[in-house]
Amino acid sequence: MIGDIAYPDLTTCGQRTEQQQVRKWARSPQWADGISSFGLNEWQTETLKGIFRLKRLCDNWDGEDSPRPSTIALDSASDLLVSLPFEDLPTPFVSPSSIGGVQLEWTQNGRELEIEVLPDGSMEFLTVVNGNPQNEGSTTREQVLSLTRWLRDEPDQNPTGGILGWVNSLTRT
Amino acid sequence: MPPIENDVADEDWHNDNEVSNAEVLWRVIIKEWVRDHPHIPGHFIASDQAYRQSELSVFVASGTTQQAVLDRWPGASLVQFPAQFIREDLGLVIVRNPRDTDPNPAHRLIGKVDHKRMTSGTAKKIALKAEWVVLNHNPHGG
Repeated sequence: MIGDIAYPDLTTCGQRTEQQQVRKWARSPQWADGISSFGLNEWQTETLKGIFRLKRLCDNWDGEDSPRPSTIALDSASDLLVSLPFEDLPTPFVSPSSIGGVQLEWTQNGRELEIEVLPDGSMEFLTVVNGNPQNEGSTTREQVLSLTRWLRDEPDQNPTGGILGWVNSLTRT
Repeated sequence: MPPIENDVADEDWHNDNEVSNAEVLWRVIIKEWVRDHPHIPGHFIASDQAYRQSELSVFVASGTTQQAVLDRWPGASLVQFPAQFIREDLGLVIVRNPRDTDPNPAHRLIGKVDHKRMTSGTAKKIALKAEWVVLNHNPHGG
């Protein structure tokens, strides 16, 4: 099992080929050793497929009049995940949001990181430690990189703190 | 991002005192929200996106049946949580929309007092508190 991605049996509006769409975000076809033939890590490829499947959603996909995920949100989420330079992140759960966004949910070592890409492409985050929500708010792609380092419990490589220090200060209990 | 449009007028957005804290509330969970539990292997949980709304639809369990609720969402699942948890632990309100078009009289809405979208932390707390009443989907396809 590679992650748990929300895509089977969605309320769909049409058929698309996820594999073809994954190529759009591929960096290189040359990589090997855990890198797919499209230049993406396995977790990135699986997550992209999950995001692309959300493109099939119609409005009212949840029976509660929610709009389908916006193109901006889907593209921003795709751009975000291929920008993360980690080969061994777990595959996040991919979920549509009721306001037309996309959420990526990671769990690792008792820590959870949720990134919601809003319909306009802006982002919000939530950190959870051992089931207890810690911090949430707006974030940027640069800060998401630090948040994923926090998720992996990587030591702060910047002795002056930097953005990772910011993340740690937010999530310190 | 444009402001979220709510169905209920702000002047109607207040606690429904006919729903006591002893009541149990049901929430429909569609399969797109069912995922592995982050801390309990072999268990499933609904993503907090299932709850992160400004007007979260729920049903007062004592006023309806599982079948009456799920008939309108074929294949969906159902979770429950106490009304007391929603009001006292989370500080949310349980609202009856006076112009509700839902045919089920047990239908109510949950949300923040200020009628804005629920925070992700609050939605996460509901997700962790909710218990399955009916689970009709296995995200692993089993």
